[in-house]
Order: sequence, then C-alpha cells, then structure tokens
Amino acid sequence: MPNLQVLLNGLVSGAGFALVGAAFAFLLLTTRTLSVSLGALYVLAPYGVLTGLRLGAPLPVSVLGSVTTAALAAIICEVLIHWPLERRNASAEAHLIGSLGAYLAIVQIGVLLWGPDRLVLNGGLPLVYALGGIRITQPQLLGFVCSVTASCVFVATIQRTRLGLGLRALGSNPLLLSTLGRNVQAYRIVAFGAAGALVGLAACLAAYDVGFDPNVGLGAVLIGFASAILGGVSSLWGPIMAGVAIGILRAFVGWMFGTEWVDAGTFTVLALALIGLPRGLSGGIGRGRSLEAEP
Amino acid sequence: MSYLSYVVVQFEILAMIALALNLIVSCGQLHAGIAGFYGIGALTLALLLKRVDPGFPAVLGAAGLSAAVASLAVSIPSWKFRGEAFVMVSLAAQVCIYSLMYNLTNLTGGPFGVVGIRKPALGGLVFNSSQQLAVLYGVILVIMVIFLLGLLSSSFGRNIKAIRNDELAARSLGIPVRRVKTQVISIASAIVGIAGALYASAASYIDPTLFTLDESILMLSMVIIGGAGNTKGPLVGALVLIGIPEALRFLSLPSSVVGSLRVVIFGLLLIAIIRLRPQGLAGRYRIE
Repeated sequence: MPNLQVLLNGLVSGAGFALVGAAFAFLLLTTRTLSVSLGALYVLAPYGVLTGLRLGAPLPVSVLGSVTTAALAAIICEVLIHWPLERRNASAEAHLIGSLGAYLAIVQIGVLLWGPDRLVLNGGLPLVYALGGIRITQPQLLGFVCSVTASCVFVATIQRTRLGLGLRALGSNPLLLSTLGRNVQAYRIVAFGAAGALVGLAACLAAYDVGFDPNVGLGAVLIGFASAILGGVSSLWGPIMAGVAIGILRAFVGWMFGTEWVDAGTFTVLALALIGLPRGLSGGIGRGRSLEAEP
Repeated sequence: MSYLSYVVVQFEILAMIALALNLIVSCGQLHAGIAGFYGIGALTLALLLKRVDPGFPAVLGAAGLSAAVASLAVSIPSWKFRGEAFVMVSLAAQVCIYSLMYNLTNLTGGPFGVVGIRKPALGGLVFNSSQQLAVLYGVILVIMVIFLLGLLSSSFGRNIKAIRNDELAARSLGIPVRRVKTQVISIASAIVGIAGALYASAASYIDPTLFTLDESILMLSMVIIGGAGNTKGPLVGALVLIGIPEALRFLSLPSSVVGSLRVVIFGLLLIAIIRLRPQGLAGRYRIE
C-alpha cells in the first residue's frame, strides 16, 4: 500500500508538472523559444491568488485573475524581449539570456512586494478522502482534476481548432505564414499568453496543495524543459506524459531517500536520461531544430 | 581603507570567475551552473585546512583540481548538447551540487556550513588583514590573466575560437572538438574552484547558500553585461557586479531590500544589454 500511496502522490504532482512541460514544449514548438521567464510567472501566480483572497475575492475568482495576469505577463515578456530579438533573428541563447533577465527582475520584485518567506493558500487542515489504505487530500484531488482537464482542453484546442492549426503552422513555417498574410506576431502573442496561463494555473494548484515561496521558479523551469526534451514536442502528449513521469520519479526518490534528496535524485536521473535520449522519446524539438551538438 | 580593501578583494575574486566564464563563452558555450564549482573549491579548501593542512599553495591546487574533476558532470553532457540545452544541463548540475553540499552534513556541515577557516599563509607569513589579502589575490589574478592570455593566443586558443565560429568546420579541420570543450570547461572550473577557495579563506566561513542557482546566474551575468571575447569585458562585468550593491549601500536601505534591488537591476541590465548591445559593455563577441 505505501507504494500505491507514493504513486498517487507522484501522479498528483506529476499532473501539475505536465502542465508546465506542456507550456515549455508548446513555446518550443510554436515560437522556438525557451523562455525562463515562465519560471517567474510560476513564482508570482500564487502571490496573485493570495492578494485576491486578502482583498476578499473567492478562491476561483482569485485563481482566474492570477492565471489571466500570468498570461498577460508572458505576453509582456514576448513584446518587450522575445519579439524584438526574433525580428533581428537572434540566437536561442539571446532569447534565453533575455528571459533570464526577466526572471531575475520579476522574482525579486515579487520578493520586495511580498517578502521571501514560505506562504500557504490553504489555511487549516484539508479534507482527506480515503479509499482502502490510500488517502488523497481535497487540494490534491482538486489539483489533479483541474490539471488533467486543463491538459486535455489545451491539447484538444491545439489539435482540433483553426487557431491551433495556425499556431502549429507558426512552428512549422512562420515565413510562409507571414507571406500568406497572417499576423505572425499575433500568433506568437497567443502562444506566449497560453503558455503563461498554463504555468500560472500549475503554480496556483501546487501552491494550494503544498504552499509556495520565491525559490520554486527555476526548479519549475528545469522540470518543464526536461519534460519538453524527454517527451519531445512532435505531440503535446509527449511532454505531458514526461511531466507525469517526473512527478512519479520525484515521489519515489523522496520516499526512498528522503525529501531532501528529491532535487538531486531527479536531476541526476533526468541528466542520464537526456544523455541517453538527447532527442527525446518522440524525437526532435520542432522545425528542423536540434539541441544536439555535432557528433 | 579596510572597507576599500574588502571591496577590492571581492572584485578580484569575481574577476577570476568572470575570466573563467569568458573562456567557456569563447568556446561558444554558456555555463549557468558555475557557483557549484565555486562552492566545491571553497569546500575543498575549508576541509583540507581543517583536517590535513598540507600548506596553502597545495590546498589551492587541490581546490582547483577537485572543481576540474567535478566539471566532467557538465563537460561530458556538452558533447551531446549545445545552445540552451547545454545551459539547462549546467543548471541541473548546479542543483545537484548544491543539494549534495546541503545534505551531506557529515562532510560539509550542511546548512551550518564550515566556520573558522584559516586565512592564507605562505611560509611564516599569514595574510590576516584585508589589505594583505588584496595584494595576494591581486598577484594571483594577474598570474591568471597572463595564463589565460597565453592560452588564448596559443594554438589551443585558436582551436577554441574556431569551435566558437563553426563547430562543424572546426571538426573538418581535425580539431578534436569534444576534447577541447572538456579541457576548456575543466580549466575554467579549476580557476573558479581556486576563486572559491580564496573566498573561503578570506571570509573564514562558508555555507551552501553562498553557492546557489541564483549566484550562478549572477556570475554568468557578469560576462554578458561586461562582455566576452577579451579580458576587458569580464573585468568590467565583475566591476558592475561588485559596484551595484556597493552603490546601493549609500542609499541607507535595509539590507534585504538592497539584496533584491541588486538582482532587479541586474535582471533589467541583462534585458537591456541583450536588446541594445549584444557584445556587452566592453566585450567583443556578440551574443545574437
């Protein structure tokens, strides 16, 4: 039974990582951009919820407001940093450095506004549901249901709607899209907004379950990037499944070696996996782009 | 006088790190996990001086060697990855090193760190005051600058520049790309390890929070803001990194605010540099 409980805990946290992985993979697929600033939005979104709650707004309204703010912040990063770099055909490293700058500034502005301490959204003891010997708390259940629903809605939107087709075309051939009269920047703005919203939602759900502090951002970036690479971005299901797998891996590492070893254990296993599978399980990261060095 | 000497010592240590990062950037890589290797050097010195004490020069050598050996955790993945993937691998290595330093409490002291680290001593002379440390570290910095200038102007340096310009063409010319990358990362990590050891000896105390991911990113920022591809750029970057908090000190703000404000300014500077001046304030290579 302990194994099943650990598996369940891993599935719940993995469902959240799946959203983060999907966000990173989606941006890589559509805009070829690895934006570390998404990590800053992961840090800030729970503070938005907390502010909403303190102002007397109900939890769902606070979460919605915070997710919308995260989407807007991602769009601002695109407009101020990535689009100008894209216009001068800057390298992936330049995008990464610009977004690192945004990450540093946004997170520390958050620290100045709300302080560096760990906070919780869910005061008091949560409701616990038991099935046999397995227990799941109300925040865990809520987080799992919301994450799975959001993942399914997101993938369905990208795969089955006209907007999704346009976004995939952006990833496939932006020059042709532009030649055909489509507004490439508008598509990029939609892509960044969607990625920001996904990361914001994942952060709010995780914060409602286990609390939050300003140091969680780069960890989320690493997990999101690892999910995108391991899962590949030829299908969004790849990074989503990789995110779930990482959640389960972290749960078992924590159970076997102690929670203090979760980060070291996870990233060691991931580094080994990436060395073995540099093109990910489904291969490639879109538009003829490779992260592999010359053999 | 002692305050000025303290600032000079900090600058000299940061300048060593910036020069080491410049070497890696010269090879076309961005290393975002360098604080981990800085920590390994610092920890090696602290533990050796406490337990064995084979003499300060030998301990400095051991600090550099341990960081160079540990750097294989980053340089071997560099055979497979490039661009932002390599940056992320180096970040992951930093997370693992920090986690080991924090959790191996029997060896590293964990969150309590190592206290009472002895000051540098050569023969019978102990470098106790910050003025003495500034002179000693200045001499070491000059030796490192001469070494790196010699390295970059040698055939090895030309191989590094060739790899940066076109990795495939470099391979076609018979340059052993993987070996050169590994050597570059090892040499740079050794320099950073020595810088960490010098910091530990000057501060007399280290703990893992000095070697976090955020520190790594700030260190990388030095070569982006100052610029890479020459000696002047990294030195300017180090000057900016040390100058901003020192300038903020005169605003009479609480230290917690100064710490955050410093990072905010650095973040905004990174964005401004990458958008407006991709070669940094005084560098030669354009990151674009």
